[in-house]
Amino acid sequence: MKKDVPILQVNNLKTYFNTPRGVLKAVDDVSFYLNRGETLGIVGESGCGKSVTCNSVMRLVQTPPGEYAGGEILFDGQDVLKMPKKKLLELRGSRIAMIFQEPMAALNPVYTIGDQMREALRLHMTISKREADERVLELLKLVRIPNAEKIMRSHPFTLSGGMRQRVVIAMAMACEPDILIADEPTTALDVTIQAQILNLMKKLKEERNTSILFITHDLAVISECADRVMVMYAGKVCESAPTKELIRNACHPYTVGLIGSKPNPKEMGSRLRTIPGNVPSLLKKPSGCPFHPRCSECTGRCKEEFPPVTEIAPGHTVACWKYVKQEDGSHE
Amino acid sequence: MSDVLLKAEHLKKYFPIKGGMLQRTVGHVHAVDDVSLEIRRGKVLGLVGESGCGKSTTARVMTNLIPPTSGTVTFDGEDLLTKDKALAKKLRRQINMVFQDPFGSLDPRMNVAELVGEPMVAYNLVKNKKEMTERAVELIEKCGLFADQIYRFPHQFSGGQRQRICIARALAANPSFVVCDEAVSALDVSIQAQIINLLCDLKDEMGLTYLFISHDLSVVRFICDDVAVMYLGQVVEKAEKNELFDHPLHPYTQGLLDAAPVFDAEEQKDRLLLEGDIPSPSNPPKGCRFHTRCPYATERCAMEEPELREVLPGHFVRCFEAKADVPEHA
Repeated sequence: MKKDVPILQVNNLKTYFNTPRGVLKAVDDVSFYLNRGETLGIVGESGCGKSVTCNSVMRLVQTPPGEYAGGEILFDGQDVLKMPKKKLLELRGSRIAMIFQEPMAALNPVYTIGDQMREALRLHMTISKREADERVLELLKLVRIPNAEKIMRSHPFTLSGGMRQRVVIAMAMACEPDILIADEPTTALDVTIQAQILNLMKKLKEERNTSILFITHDLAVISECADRVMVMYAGKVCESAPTKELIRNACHPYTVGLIGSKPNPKEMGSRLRTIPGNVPSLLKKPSGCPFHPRCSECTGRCKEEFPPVTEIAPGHTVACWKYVKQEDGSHE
Repeated sequence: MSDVLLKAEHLKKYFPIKGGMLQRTVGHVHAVDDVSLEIRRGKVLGLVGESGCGKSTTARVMTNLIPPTSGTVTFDGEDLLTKDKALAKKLRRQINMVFQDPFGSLDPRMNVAELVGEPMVAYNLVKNKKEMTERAVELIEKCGLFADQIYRFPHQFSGGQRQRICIARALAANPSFVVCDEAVSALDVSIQAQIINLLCDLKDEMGLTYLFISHDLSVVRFICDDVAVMYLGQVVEKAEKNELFDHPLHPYTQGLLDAAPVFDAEEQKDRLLLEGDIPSPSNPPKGCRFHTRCPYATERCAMEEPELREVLPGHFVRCFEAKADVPEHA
């Protein structure tokens, strides 16, 4: 395994929040890895811990109330959670960069696009103003912004949503990061603009060999741009597999339900298949497998213990008792 | 009774833009520009388009929530934009709306019984509070909530449950026509499927007619019978659902359909990727409004504005180039 060391390896990460109503286990024992030049998609419904996982990778969770209760995040062999502050600042923005959902909130409304991008560049690189300007232009052209010189001098509010997101991506790419974390980058955009941005991200990945951690709630978006997919539910990873494998051969009842909930143009029946019930509150997480109250295949064991992660095909792991081979041969 | 429940003809809604020291009108936002739509009784009309294309304004004008600049709307054979207050009230009872944000559309100080019961009181459909509560319980049970939740407040519910309350409230005055303005867009996928199923069941059970506004094409394809595509305040294409999705004739519709991510990546075909952004509706392009982004635009498109014409029975397109015998553009 030495030759293909993942750029990011997260082992048993636990991010908890101490709230007046108890400990909220937003990320509970999550492990995953991200190879160089790979896109890993994280899917799940709201409140399942996708964003907290990604914020943890950059150590952006505020402590307190947040708390890194355990685990390690190995970036290029170094543990981000144990890193001194100064080193962390060097890492953020230059080697790991992030794109957020709402591009307007990520840009400063009182500075021009050029100002903000120059700031990001000069923070991490020792370059002159003129060199920075040239680099900004180059970056804006990289994200296919037409008449970049003009855009550089304009303020964020004069740009459309798609353009703003392009600027944010350009800024994130400024220092050629190893990992780009994209937290629902296209959710706020229209479909035609979403297609443009996804296309752009695909091209950037190919050109720069950047690894991307892509968070979304939309399975269709994930299936288009990710190499591997990880499905999260209530702070736990329930299934992880290469994208094609997951589409063709989803195993976890939650994944199956999630795929079934999406209207499929091929089978236009009169009803959609649904998952009954609601996403549980993380404060009152069900015991055992958190999905058991909504699962149609729930057994007695599901209510008591969280199932171990089982590999059912190369690279395809699932956490469900259904796939655990019982040592005593019995299947509850 | 005629087959058409609601008919809008040549609807226009311009919003003035005020500017300068004297706040004079300096221009207009052409939010809805010459929209004609028909909704058949018991059917679902889908209205799709990108943000800012005038979907919601069209719905609001069609239901007389905001007065149109010009145009007519007939509901069940009667003029919906009538000045006769009694008639207007009678017609308005027939029409109700479900909005996108279930957090913003429920008064946090009212409990479920009051929220669902308010329309009944407003239209004098119930005699007393007891009757109101009974009817409210009946409605929320129909919408998948439980009778013991009737005295709870909105903050005690999840997003999906709140949307169920909104639907129950929309049905409280026995409407025949419900406008769902992005009613499922704010919900998680698994909850979205539950609400879509609920809307379908209610439609069959109560004989409702929907105007379903959404930007999610897969949802529209699932729930609707007819679909109209809007771009910059105009309907660019309308047809029966399968006809529109299988043989889109307008290049914008093609681009919109191709832009939607496909779940099964192996079906990837040559896509028509639209460039650029939607122009501002305060200064729409001359000629065909889509010509600035259209890959097939000719000189004529920049000069003249195409009319909405029927190229196939029931299939209307606003494009010079679209031909019935060539389903795809060459």
